[in-house]
Amino acid sequence: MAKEKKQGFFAKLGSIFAYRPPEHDTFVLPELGDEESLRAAPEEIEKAAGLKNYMDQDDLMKAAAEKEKDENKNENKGKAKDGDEIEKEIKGQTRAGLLRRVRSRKEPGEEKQKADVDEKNVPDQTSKEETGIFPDINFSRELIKKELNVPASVDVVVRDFKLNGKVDAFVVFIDGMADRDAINNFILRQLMNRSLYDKYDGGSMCEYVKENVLSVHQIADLKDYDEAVSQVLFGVTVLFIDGAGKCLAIDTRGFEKRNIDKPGMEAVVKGSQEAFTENLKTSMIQIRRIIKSKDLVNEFLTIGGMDKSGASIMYIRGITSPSLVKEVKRRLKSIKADFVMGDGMIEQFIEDDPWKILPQVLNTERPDRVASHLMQGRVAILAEGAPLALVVPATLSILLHSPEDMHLRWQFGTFLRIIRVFAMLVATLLPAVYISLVNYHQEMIPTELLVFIASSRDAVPFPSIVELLLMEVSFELIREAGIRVPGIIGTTLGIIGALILGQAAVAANIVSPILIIIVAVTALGNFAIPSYPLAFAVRVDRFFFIALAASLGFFGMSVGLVMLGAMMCSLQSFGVPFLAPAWPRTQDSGDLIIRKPLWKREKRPDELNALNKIKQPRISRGWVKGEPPPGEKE
Amino acid sequence: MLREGKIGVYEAICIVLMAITAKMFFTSPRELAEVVGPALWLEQLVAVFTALVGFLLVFQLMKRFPGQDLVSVFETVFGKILGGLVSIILAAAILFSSVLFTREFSEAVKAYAYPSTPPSMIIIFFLVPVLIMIYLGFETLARTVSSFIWFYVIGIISIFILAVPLYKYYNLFPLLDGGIGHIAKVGLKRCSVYGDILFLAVFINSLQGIDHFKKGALRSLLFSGAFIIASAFFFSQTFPKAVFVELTIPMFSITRAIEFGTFFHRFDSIYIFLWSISAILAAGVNLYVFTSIYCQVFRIKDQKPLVLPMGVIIFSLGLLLPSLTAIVDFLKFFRNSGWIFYFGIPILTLLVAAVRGMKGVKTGA
Repeated sequence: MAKEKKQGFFAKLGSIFAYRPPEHDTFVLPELGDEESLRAAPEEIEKAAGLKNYMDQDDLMKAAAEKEKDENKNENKGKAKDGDEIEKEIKGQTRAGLLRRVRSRKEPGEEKQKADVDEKNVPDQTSKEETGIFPDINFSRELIKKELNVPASVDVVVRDFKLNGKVDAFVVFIDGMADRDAINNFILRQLMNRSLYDKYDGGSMCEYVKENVLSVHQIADLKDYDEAVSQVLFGVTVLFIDGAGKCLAIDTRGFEKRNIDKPGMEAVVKGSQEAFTENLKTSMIQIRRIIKSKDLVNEFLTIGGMDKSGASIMYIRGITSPSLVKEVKRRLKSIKADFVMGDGMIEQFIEDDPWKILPQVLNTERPDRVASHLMQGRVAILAEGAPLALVVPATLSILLHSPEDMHLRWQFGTFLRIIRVFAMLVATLLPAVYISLVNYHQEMIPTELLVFIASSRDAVPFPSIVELLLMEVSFELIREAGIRVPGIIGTTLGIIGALILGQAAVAANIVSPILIIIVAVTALGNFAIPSYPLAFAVRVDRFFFIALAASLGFFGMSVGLVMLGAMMCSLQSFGVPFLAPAWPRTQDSGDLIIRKPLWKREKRPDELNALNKIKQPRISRGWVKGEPPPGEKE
Repeated sequence: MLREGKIGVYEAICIVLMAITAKMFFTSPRELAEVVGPALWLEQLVAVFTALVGFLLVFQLMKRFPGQDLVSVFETVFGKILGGLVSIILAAAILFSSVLFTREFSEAVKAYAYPSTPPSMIIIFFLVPVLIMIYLGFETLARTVSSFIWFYVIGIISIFILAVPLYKYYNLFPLLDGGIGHIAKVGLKRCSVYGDILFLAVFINSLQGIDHFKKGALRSLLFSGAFIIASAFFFSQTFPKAVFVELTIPMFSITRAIEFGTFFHRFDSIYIFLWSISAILAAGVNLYVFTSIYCQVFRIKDQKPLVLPMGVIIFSLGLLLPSLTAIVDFLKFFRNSGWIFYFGIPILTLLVAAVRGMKGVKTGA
């Protein structure tokens, strides 16, 4: 123990003497150093970001830099300062100064430190110098406090105590993010229980504590302050021990979370009735519970700069194309925004073409749907704080599928898919067709119907396009208001509002009755689209087609159709064409519009380039053809 | 060199099929009926065979220079400057054909559907999707065409099925109106209708090898020939010659004549989708070929900056044509002599290459 303390002292001295200012004196946040914009001088960053509190520290930083220059001079003179002076210096420095000091301590002074070690023949010294954790606990405490803004941040707890009544230690955690019971009963009580140190033979205290004292299921060694801080922010408790060149991350994550509930957007009659929650861990477990395969890989990443949002990538090793996984990771890791919250924001950062209106990522709140796509060779991205998972690559066909299709017999599944395609066409084109017919192509309407439409429009003072836009905009308003108005009133407002408004508008001769039917059927078509982002795109496209139809009838609509077709054909999701497997044509996996019987779906989608393209053997129903399994002969 | 991506045989067939068959929606059938009467379909039979012979010669040329597209073959055989000039002549012919087609379409739409809309507005609406497709590139264009092809094929077949009550077999007689020699002569000249098959030679590097080129071209010639011959056959059955020559757009007249009871009538409006979409896609294919040749000749690596100026040029040229009568005259000239550009230039190139003993280098690919 004494040796460890001694090493800490030498390492500290070494780092102070070894300090060399970086080439560009920049206030750089961890992990963001390569971004061109962040290479600007600290003042520019702070001014651009309007961070006044950072500006206040400017003078302190300059002072720290001057002190560091003095230290370099002292190094030349060969004078060493005592521990008290160093502590005072630490307290007076900024976070940046402290971090710089830790990072640079190995560079020029490394040889000197090694020489000191050789001279004094202190064993096990070099291994500690390789780590990024400073062995002096006072230094670590000050650094952590500065990093986590203690005492300004009242929820960050830094608890000091002694191990075995002798060795200084402290734990740091965020109150509310970490489980109090676990900390009180299985960490602090254990650590301060002297009887547990009876077998301690003077070796590494850190290792002893990990192996003999703490009774917590998951402990990891951390060798970097940045990592320690980010773990604390995720709800982990971090234990620092004086003289140790590492710290321990103890999993105590336990914050309030919502229970698993029924899916709100993707309800089904047959099939699973559970949805994701905002808790990343729960969501991951929900998927693991469905796919009990050793090949299901779950990789964790932190995204963004300041908020360090957590995200998980899930895929199946041996099925998913490695290049797809690599591309997903590349895109996620490249996100350099200070705040990336949930699936919606991640989606916007990783999609192929943000200028196109159609979704390029599948959002789903259903673990069973994610599991089924993982088994096909896609990659799922789960984000902290989001009750939806992202599945990539997404094609139009999977956006039109519902998880229920698989639970129904193939004839019904196919029927539902055809209905959905029809619904999408109706939702996009019906109002535009109406406008074209009444404005340009009246000859096509049968005489009886034409007379009815004309008589119903007789008292309406507006042209049909104004009439249609009034109703469409009113409907959009009702829809938006229905979502915003809380609870049951919202639902009621949606239905009653539409009925009353429609009835009143007809009675007031503002719109014709046939238009109410057109708008209602259009809305039904829109609701029948299983993907919310796709339904949204259709809502917007509808207005585009209305404008074209009002300009040039069916010819205008044809122009719009070609433009929409070209846009869809040029769209890609993680390199996979949006209209695959139809355009370009790839091998049929039996899952486009006609849902083949389950026993005939032998292959995974060709466009995904799965490593294992075969999903099941040609004869998947062993009882129909071929030899029965051994021991089961009739 | 433009990065044009890769397409399959299916997409190649769709591109050529659309470019060739979209013409039958407009004034060409009437103009032919004037010349050959009810033997229209027989004349098309001769035209298909002539085009087939023409294509086989083009294939020999491309086979002689493996791994090279048509523009670079011209440059290899005639030299950089003369070869470039030949390519530009071909590109100009394609541009001229596109301009005629655009104006023909706008006049047809104006005459049959939107009589009070100025042609300039129709041309602007027509050109916007065409230019968007060219901007998005060849792969997108090929996929867009192939995504609409079934809608197009089913639409045309539905017209012929719904028009069954209108067919009168005796309208096909006299079967050899004007005599065999006359039909053969017209057929030989009118092989230019199928000249769009040459487009595949321009995009040969996007196809996967010479075999795909041959397969794609022969199949597209077969399908488009079958389509046009069937159309000509049904047109001739529906209208007697005296009526046929009076119709500006026979296909439109057929759709207008279809009716089932009092509820299903005047289908012509719904078929606006069919001929508008096919015309837009065909014009897109033609103009992309022009852009591609132009970019290759002048070593332009990206077609995107050309899109807007090209749109302005086509719009201006389209409006320079005075009337539908003038357009029909120009079209008559082009359809009768288009073979010089589509088949004549490559055959001449083949002859020169054979005389000079020029051959391309066989690559390992």
